[in-house]
Amino acid sequence: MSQTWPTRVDHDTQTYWAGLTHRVLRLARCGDCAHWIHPPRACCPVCWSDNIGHDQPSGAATLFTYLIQPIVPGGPPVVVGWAELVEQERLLVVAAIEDATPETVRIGANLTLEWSDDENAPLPVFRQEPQS
Amino acid sequence: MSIDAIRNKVAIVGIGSSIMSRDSGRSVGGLAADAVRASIRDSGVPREAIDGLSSIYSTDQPTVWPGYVAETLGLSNIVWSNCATPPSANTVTEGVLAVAAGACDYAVCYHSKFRWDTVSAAARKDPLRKAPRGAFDPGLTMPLVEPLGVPNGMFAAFRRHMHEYGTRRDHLGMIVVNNRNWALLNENAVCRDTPLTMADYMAATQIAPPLSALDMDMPIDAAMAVVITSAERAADLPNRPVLVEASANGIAGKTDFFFQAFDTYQSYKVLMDRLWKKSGLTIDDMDLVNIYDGFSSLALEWIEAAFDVRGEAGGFLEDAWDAEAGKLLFNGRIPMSTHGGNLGEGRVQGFGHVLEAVRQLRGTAGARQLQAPQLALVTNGNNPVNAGMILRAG
Repeated sequence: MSQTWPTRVDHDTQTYWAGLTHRVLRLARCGDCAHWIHPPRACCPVCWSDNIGHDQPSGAATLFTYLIQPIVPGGPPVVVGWAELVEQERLLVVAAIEDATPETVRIGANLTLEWSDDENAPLPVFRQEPQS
Repeated sequence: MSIDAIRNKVAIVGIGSSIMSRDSGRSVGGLAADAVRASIRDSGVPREAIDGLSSIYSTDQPTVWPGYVAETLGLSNIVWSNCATPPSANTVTEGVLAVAAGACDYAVCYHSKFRWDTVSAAARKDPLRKAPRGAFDPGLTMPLVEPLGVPNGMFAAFRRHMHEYGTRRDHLGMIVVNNRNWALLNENAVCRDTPLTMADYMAATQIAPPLSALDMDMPIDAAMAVVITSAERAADLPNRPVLVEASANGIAGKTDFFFQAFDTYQSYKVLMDRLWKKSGLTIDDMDLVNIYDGFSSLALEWIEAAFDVRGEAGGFLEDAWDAEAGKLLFNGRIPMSTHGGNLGEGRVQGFGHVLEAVRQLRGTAGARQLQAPQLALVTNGNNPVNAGMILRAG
């Protein structure tokens, strides 16, 4: 991929993007009430605290929903998933679901966090655990 | 039951539209001027009396500001103007408040859409379609999803709906075919000459599975406008007035276009609750529902919200579906989007739904005129941003 991400960083998203360069998922989290906040914001929607820190989720998730679409115009379709992290209800990270196909992708599947192999701009990806 | 202080105090007295086409030969500003001028002429209000202008900024590219329209049409007495958040019906909800409050007497509320070069490969070949520069990302989340090709959360919401409730692609087909069949009776619709059967729909290529291009609104060049004033002043004007029973817009909780939780419907709920509470009416009082259909799956969500059948849209649509006519009739009585909606008439982001409600309530809808309808529900937008209104024949 020739594009280097991100296209824009701001005060709220810089920690997230810096984490990705080290292949670490750092999500915004309220320092007072511990509510996870993604996409990152400057204020906690639950307790209104401005004490927003970052924390590393376990990487365990389930597949909430997905789309099948090319990432670049004209490119091959991939499975883009909304991964619901186990840490909090509806804490959704949007990421490619590695190795999933339209035939094998399953809403509700257990997911594990991995990383894309792009050296310049690693991105979180998830992999479906085999159906037990 | 509380009744809104401005209920039925404001009336729509004029409507206007530019031509609606894939290639109008007009600039986006020219289209806006066409619609505004047509609405003022239709209203019978003298040009000099127009003192309010309400517009909307769009979710892909900007439309033109009130100042542009005032200069283009030589409107020199504007004392109230506004550029509201989408969807397009919000330009009317804002204008209603301004007229009710006395901020202006005669407001024109307009919206203009254009097939910019950002919309399609075909549009990029036309040198006259270059969009104004500048990114549109008011939710500030675009960079987070750009590496994934900006996946559409609203499409993903329908995938979740299928999983959770057993909803099927042919349920969307009922919505699309209904709107396309109504569009055949609308001489201004871009799809007026292109019939679509359920078999055609089911055979369409799923470009964003399970959605096909038929599930997505038709990009066109078009603008629309309404003139509004107080119900008292409306009595002195030539058209049968259409009164605003209630209007509102709803935003609630997780509303990001890409990261929203999809399943709360909270923004729909706060809007619908407000409209019913402020009007004192229920869905059973409606004679027409013009349901927003930027994507067919959004219409399905709206049907659930408007008829309070969350999770049951599939069976509800099956009950309403007349396979022979290829149309929907909810509760055995209430038709949907008799102009053809965004899917059949063309994409003015829901403003066509407002104009059609006015035509039907006036009794000027021609070949598609319903039998003396008195009340219409108009919905616009989606779970991230929405607007709605209940209109009454005056």
